[in-house]
Amino acid sequence: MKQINKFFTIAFASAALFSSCSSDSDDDITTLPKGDYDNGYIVLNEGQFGTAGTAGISFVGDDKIIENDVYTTVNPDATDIGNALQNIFFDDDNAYIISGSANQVTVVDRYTFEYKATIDTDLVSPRYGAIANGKAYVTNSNGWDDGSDDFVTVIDLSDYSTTTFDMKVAEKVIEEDGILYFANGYYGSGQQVTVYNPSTEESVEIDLGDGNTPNSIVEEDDALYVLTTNYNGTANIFEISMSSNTITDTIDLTETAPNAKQLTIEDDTLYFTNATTVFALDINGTTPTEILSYTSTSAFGAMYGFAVEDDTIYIADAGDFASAGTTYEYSLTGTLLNTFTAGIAPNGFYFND
Amino acid sequence: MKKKLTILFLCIACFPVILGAQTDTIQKLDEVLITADAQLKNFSNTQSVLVLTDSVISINQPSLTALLNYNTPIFFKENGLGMVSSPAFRGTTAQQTAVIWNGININSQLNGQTDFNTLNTSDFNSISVRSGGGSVIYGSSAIGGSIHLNNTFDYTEGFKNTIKSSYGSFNTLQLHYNGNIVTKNLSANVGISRNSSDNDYDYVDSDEYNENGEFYNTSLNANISYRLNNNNVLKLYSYAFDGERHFSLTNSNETPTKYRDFNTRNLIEWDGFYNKMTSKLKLAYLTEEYKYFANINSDSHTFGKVNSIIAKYDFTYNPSENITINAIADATQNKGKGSSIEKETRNIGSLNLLFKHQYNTWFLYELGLRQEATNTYNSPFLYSLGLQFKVNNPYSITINGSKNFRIPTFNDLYWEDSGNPDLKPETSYQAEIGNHLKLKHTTLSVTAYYNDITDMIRWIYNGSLWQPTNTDHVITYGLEGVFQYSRTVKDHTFTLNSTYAYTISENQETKKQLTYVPYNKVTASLGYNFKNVSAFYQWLYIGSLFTTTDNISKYKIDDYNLFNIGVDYTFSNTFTLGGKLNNIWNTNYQGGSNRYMPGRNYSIYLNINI
Repeated sequence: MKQINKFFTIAFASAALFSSCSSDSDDDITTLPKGDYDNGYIVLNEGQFGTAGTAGISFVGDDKIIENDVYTTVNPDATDIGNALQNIFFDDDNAYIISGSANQVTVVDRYTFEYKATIDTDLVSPRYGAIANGKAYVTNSNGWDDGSDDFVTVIDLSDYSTTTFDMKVAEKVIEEDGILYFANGYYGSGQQVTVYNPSTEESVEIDLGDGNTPNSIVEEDDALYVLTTNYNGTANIFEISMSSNTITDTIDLTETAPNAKQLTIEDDTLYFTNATTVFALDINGTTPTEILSYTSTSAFGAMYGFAVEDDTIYIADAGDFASAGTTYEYSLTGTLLNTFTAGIAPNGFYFND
Repeated sequence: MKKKLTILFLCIACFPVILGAQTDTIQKLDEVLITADAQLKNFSNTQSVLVLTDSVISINQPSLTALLNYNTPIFFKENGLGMVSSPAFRGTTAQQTAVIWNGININSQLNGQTDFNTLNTSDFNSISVRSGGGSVIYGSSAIGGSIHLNNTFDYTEGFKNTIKSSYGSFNTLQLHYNGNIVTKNLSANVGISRNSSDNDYDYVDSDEYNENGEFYNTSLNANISYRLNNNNVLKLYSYAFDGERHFSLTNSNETPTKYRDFNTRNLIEWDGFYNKMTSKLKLAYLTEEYKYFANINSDSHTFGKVNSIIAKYDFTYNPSENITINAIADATQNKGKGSSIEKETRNIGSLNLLFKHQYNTWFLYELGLRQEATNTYNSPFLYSLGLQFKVNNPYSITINGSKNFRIPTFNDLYWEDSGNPDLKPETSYQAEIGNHLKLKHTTLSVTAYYNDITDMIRWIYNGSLWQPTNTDHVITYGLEGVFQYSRTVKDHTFTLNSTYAYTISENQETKKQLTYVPYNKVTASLGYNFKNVSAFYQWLYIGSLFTTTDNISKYKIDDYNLFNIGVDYTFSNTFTLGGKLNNIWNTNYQGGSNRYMPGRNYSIYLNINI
């Protein structure tokens, strides 16, 4: 009996092996990998607070093996990538890595991670970035006050020259059809979304109402979804029409997820987190469903990074912020698939495929 | 005449008589007894106290970090030369090391620790390091040990002036003046120090340099002792420190920041010496203030400020020559505020009882009790017990056990949104056994210790903000060795001072060594003196240490050796001209993770004594 079991296991494993090999070769014919870091995802590790040299990039390939410190491995002699790595944004060829403490954006090839340039002008505590019409737009917290001195750095990607314009509480930013959408909010400051047209340099401000501070913003099918929390304890998702720039719907999350954050969208489903729980909400629905409650071995640095891509939920746990963090892959039904030891304080996932 | 007066004073000070009465007894006494920190001498018989002599202090001017790093088992994490410096004493944290100025605990009320680069060694003439628990006597933070900065008085009549000046690499300038005047009833000294440096040293083996590292500081001190009559002495101690440091960058694109410290310490003390009794009434007023500029080009800054009033009554009774009973009552009020702290007031009262008995020629025991009461947290009952056995004349054994604590700081309790009013103090149970050998030219002591620390406060991220929590349980244990040798042959004097520390400091949840605690540290310093010439050679070894809590080897700081050498010559008993070469072998080392320290550097100095 035991023998037979073993046989079946091997047979099954071999079959799986053969089938995956053949499908791989099929893929290779159509799309050759563009570099060592194509076909997988990037984990951004912000590093130990105040300690240079501890931040870095990890890469998890389709083989489900994590490689840490990709940047320094590929570019041992290049300029320091900086600490407090905050965000990465992309165009077709490049990845732009923002260091919040080093006031710089490091440009690398997004598939090989080969160093290209460091942009270090007009940046003060940079936060997030997006690209429209050949220019990158990076938000800056500047003096970390109430947001009144915040600004946006405009980087011409042809020569990396920079200019700036002011924007209060400039934080997260996304781009769609050449238009930039800024979520103006952090730590209880700010309550609006700024729609900015780079070609006319004109902007429209959408008020989200008293104390509704946006913490994340996504778009799908001509609609913006903005997740807000309020110091009065309420949480909402605002649906905004991108053609009219008006609020078309509000979903109240107060009851299920008063501290909701990290809104993302995948296949017409909205996903967000509240503490260590992940919720899903159909794009046309009103009641979120809990899909997994994640137990962290360290109860404190949990859910520091979160993403949903295809059929997988990605969670980063920053531990005590002074040791290697952990990342998890879960299925959409909440089954743990994989666990990885990342760099120090992993805070985000970015997909290369 | 002078001599007679000195003896008379010492006699009055230390062997008291009934008020107004005279004594004829003349005894030779230890001057240490007239410091404000009497407990350091009286109640440290069963722990090791390392006294740093004047000649040792003068070698490692001017920062307290350099002095202690090269001469004691304490390790320092330094964010670049002259930047924030935090000690790890017997594997504990910076907040578990107490700094005692003339008997008063001066650790910051805001963050609970002392930045050892904000104290100039030239402002004190007696510096001692007391290893192990001392909370019963010195209160909060005396867990790993305590550093004692004292101003002692000279009672030799006359007027003396000392000027010290030094110039060295990175445009580093040090100036110090000290004036000392002693008349019949008065002993006063006034000191002023100024230190400044561009501190823009090149990193070894790199094209980069220490950017935005410049600093300056000025400190003033005045200490007066006035004898009212044969039994009563008034003393005033005053100290002010004003400094500005730019914090060096780890990446040249970082926003340059700077930090200002302004601290004052004033203590007035009335000592009465009566038959078998000594009474000391002390009033202290301490202020501390910092300003942090997140961008040196902007005036906007954050700040924190605490003013403290301390009233202390310290009463000692010697029923017989062999018994000392000491009771201390203390009332402290701290008033603090800051850019992230609402105006807060904290009151702490404490009662101490210390007892020492030299039972017979070979056995001594000492006992201490302390209870604090405060409006902000529950304070545990603290105690200590020490035994000393003089086994055979040169050899003695000491045993000490104690319960100690570290109280939550203003930041821990009151920080806007994050402060946690439910915090408990960190507590430590510790025990140590010391072996001491005292020969004619040589002393050697080896101490093994064990320290179990619970409820350690750590700021942790709870999903939306950082908040202090009683969380960690750490056990530290290890060995501490001190070797001293001194010998004079004709006009040649040789001294060798060496310390060794082996330290395990393990988080009990993760079973990992704490960050910035090297397993091994060695110091050795060889001194030579011949007539007007004196020279020294120093060695410091720091074993490898971890910078992440999971002890990732990639982020380890490798071990390193440092060597310094110096020589000076004294002309006509007045002028001393000397030079010093630091880091002779141009070792590339880090004071903290990616905090590169200077390579080979020099200084020349001229001291004038009139």
